[in-house]
Amino acid sequence: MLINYIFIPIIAAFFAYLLNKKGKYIGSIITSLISAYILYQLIGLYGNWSLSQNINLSIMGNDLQLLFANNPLSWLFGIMTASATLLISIFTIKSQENYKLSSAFNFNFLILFGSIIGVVFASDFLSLFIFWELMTWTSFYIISGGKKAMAKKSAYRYFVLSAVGAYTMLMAIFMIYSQTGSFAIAETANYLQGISTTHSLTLMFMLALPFLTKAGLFPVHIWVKGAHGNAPKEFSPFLSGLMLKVGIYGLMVVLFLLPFSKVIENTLSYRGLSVFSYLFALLGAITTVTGTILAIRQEDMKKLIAYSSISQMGYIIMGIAIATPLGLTGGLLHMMNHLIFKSAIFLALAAVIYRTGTTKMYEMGGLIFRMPLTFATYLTAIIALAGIPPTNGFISKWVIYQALIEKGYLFLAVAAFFGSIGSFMYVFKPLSTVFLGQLKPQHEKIKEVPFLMQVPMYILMILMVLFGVVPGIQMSIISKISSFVGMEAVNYSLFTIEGAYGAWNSLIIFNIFTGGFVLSLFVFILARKSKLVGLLDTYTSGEYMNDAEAYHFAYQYYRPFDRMFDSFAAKSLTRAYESLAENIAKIGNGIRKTVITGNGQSYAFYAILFFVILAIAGWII
Amino acid sequence: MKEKFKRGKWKEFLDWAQNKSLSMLHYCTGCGAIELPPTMTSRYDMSRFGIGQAATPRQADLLLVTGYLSTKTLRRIIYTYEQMQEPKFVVGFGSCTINGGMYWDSYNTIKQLDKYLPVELYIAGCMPRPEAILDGFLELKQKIDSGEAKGYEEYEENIEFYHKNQEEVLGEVQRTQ
Amino acid sequence: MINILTTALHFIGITIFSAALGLFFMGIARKIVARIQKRYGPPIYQPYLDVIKLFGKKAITHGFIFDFGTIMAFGGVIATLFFVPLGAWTLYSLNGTVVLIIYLLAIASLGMAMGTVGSGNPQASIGISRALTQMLGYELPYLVILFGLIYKYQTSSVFGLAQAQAGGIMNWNLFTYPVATVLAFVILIGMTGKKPFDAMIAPSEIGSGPVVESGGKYLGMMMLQKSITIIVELALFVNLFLGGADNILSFSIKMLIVWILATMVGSLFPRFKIEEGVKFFWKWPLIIAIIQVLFIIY
Repeated sequence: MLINYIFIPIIAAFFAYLLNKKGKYIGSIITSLISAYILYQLIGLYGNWSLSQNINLSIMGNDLQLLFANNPLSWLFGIMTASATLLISIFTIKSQENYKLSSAFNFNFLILFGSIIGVVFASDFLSLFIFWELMTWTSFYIISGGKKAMAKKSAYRYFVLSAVGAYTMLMAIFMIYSQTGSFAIAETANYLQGISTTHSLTLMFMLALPFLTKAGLFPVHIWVKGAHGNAPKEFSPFLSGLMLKVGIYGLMVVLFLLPFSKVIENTLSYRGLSVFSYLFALLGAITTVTGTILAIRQEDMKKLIAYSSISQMGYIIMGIAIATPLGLTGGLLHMMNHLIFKSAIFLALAAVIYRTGTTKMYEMGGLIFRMPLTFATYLTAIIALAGIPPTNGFISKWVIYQALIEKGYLFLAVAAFFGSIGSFMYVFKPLSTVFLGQLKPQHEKIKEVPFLMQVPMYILMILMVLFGVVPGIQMSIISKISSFVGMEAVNYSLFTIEGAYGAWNSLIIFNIFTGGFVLSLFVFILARKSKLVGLLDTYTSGEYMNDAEAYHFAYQYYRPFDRMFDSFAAKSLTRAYESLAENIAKIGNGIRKTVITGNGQSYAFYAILFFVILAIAGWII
Repeated sequence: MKEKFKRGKWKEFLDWAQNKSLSMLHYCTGCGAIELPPTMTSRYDMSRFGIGQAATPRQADLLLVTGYLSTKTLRRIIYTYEQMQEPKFVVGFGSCTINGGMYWDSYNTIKQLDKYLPVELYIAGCMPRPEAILDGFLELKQKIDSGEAKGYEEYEENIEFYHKNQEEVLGEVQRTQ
Repeated sequence: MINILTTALHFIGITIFSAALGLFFMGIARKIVARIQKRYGPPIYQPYLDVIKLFGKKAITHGFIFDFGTIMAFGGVIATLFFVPLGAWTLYSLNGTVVLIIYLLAIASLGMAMGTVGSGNPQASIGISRALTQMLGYELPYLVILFGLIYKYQTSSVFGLAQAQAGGIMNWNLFTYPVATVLAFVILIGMTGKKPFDAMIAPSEIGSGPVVESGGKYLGMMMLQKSITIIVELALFVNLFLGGADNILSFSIKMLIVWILATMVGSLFPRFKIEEGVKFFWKWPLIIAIIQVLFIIY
């Protein structure tokens, strides 16, 4: 009953909106109940790979069929969506107490949830497009409801970029429809293999453009910073954790379901891979490097993690685009892991914003003493993000490295290494400036967040370590996806994954890590007990320290590194787009001024010109 | 003498290790400071006796008060001394720490270091040459090894005496929190 | 049960051996620097006495995170130790270990960073930001060189790479890829934090950087962590470029030679600024490494 899962949230949205006007938490409770129910149902759909449903519409005498089907890829995305929605909605029960627009948020959020389910389960392009547009609209409304001044402008920018991509896709869909008479993905695939290479390549790029935008790849990544930074704090985990991935879903549809590889069989190839696939991977590499460099410079913690999101998406694209079994596995693993740890990071940051009310890192400090559980979540999440064993982030990065080294793609590998080590830098910055350091006097009275907001954070922490130790759970669904898209699967078992140059065994790593830790703890305890002193009693060359504000090193934490890249960051792609838009507006203005004068004589001239043209045309035809 | 400094085997071992590896806080006050760089560098090499340098009081064992101490500096030295961790030792350099030295009639300097901080050893001279400094360090090491250097315990036991003296000359003193 | 006990004893033995060897190397380094500066220097066994003294001192702590970070730093580097082949002893011929070792070293850095910044002293934060920036600087050419080696020998296990150089002295990577070896040597100087790349420690500039508030057992554990890190990095270099060794004695001698060379080079230079250090690593070492790896691939 796939269609139910799409329309139940949409209908429930209206109820949530009305009921939320009564009490501020009812809308979130409805959202969590609905997403829990749908998650439960979707889990039951596992293995049911031949399920499909149609909606038959009849519009003005024409028959229209919307197809939905269940396959491993869609199932995985459905599970990811439902679980993300569940966790976020549990979080929002408490965190939106003082948010004016919470009713509208819940309304839009439920419709968004339903439409994403529609996108991933659609098996023809029209329904994909319908729900894609619905998704864009509702998320646009949610982002513009943020509390910051730039929220509306960033939402607008996001919408324009998405719209450009979406209408390009619509044009491609109609071009294909006019030739095949059907919107279904399978028939599109057949058609595209039959026509000339140039034509099908153009069509495929047109189809892929909205997905590239949504995934935040290099030339069209400019909406990410604004949307993440200015969205409501509870929506950023969802936006970064899930909505960027829906772009990846679309790219997988384009690259694998309409087999890109078949279409481009006769094109140039570089080391066994077509130039066009390599182009995607290269875009991913550039995104990784750009995202890392720009992330290190940010002073606003949400914008920093937003840039980090696009650099991780670069990893995923690199893994998927090189089209080897290991690459696909690595990309999909990283996608699942990224959902978990990025949501955890954003939830921790949302908890901090909930208590302190600011997002600038240099205005905070020492919050570990007041919010230790949030700190623990953030710490585990950055250990996963930096890709350190024994968490799940390391496994996906390891598989991607194996894939890149196996084929010998040096520049992609350099970008991947740069992104990984750079991620260590930028992810340490909020840890050091927000949680560690000196506690500011105005934050003396902060308490930990309420229990309902802690629950999603605990669940995510457990998942990160669990998937790190037992990668077999993730590999089971990913190997099914590999076989579904026609690529051979990677060998794995509950605790091991086999790579190109050898296998990975998580249990051993975890045991050794624990052993090392225990040994070190032993040494620590055997020595003399130490005395606890306050934070203000520290080495200051003998000077007395009374003002915590002056001793917190937070602003421009990586100033030497930023100096090196000042000229790089000064070239802003956003300004390039903005100046393009301004120039187009100028041309439009110019035309308007010449044509629409206030002069009656020119209007008379236009009318006469119009009739003359009609007469000539009527006389010729 | 031996009964006064009776200590367990473990403490004896630790004292032996302590005397072989002293970390000197690189903190120099008055004009005596000029004699320290020659002692540390190649000619009169101090490091062959195991005496190294520490950058911060948390890592240091040895505080050298080299020369006169104005009251302004005394405040900081007391704060630094209280930031150091046990076992810790203070060595006074030059005659200014013994009896005021050249500044015996100044309104601004202190005349006898022993009233404010527990001093293990004085090295007399105005300025003591590096050979004298090394001689003093060797005697300090011997004192530590035999267990006689207990200045930090005396500071804890007679803390009211020391605090009274400090406040008498400084006014109010801010303590470590 | 007996199996677990023997494995545990094995681990403890390896840790103690590496810590002792690392401290010995640190003593040798101090002696060599002293002799270069025309003085006698401390005795070679001085670091052992330093560590014993430090564990006998009292210390202060700034809260839970300070303790936890120190334990994590030391624990992380011990865990790293078990994956590096020392002589003929290796934990597993577990493949995929080169990347693993680099990342496990990152856990130790993260632990130290977290613990020391948790002391609340801004100088620790400055030191850590410098250390992380420099890590980005030297890891990039190092990973490029590793990429080339893994691609050439088709294995990513350190033990496998060491075995691949068996069969005589001319098979060592030192002689087959001399450029890569020299570059890795330069990077080793950066990794071990010798001059000119020691701006993160910088005693007189930022009060010894991250360990500004560590005294007593914390400083002792940091010293032990540093000694084991030195052993891990040297062992990695010897295994990758000097062909490993069959027994622990010749392995230690090879490590000693590399260490003496690195110390001698490191004692000549003043300190680079952090951005100068990173720019240095990204200019010629990176370019030469990329050219070298392109030669390997094609």
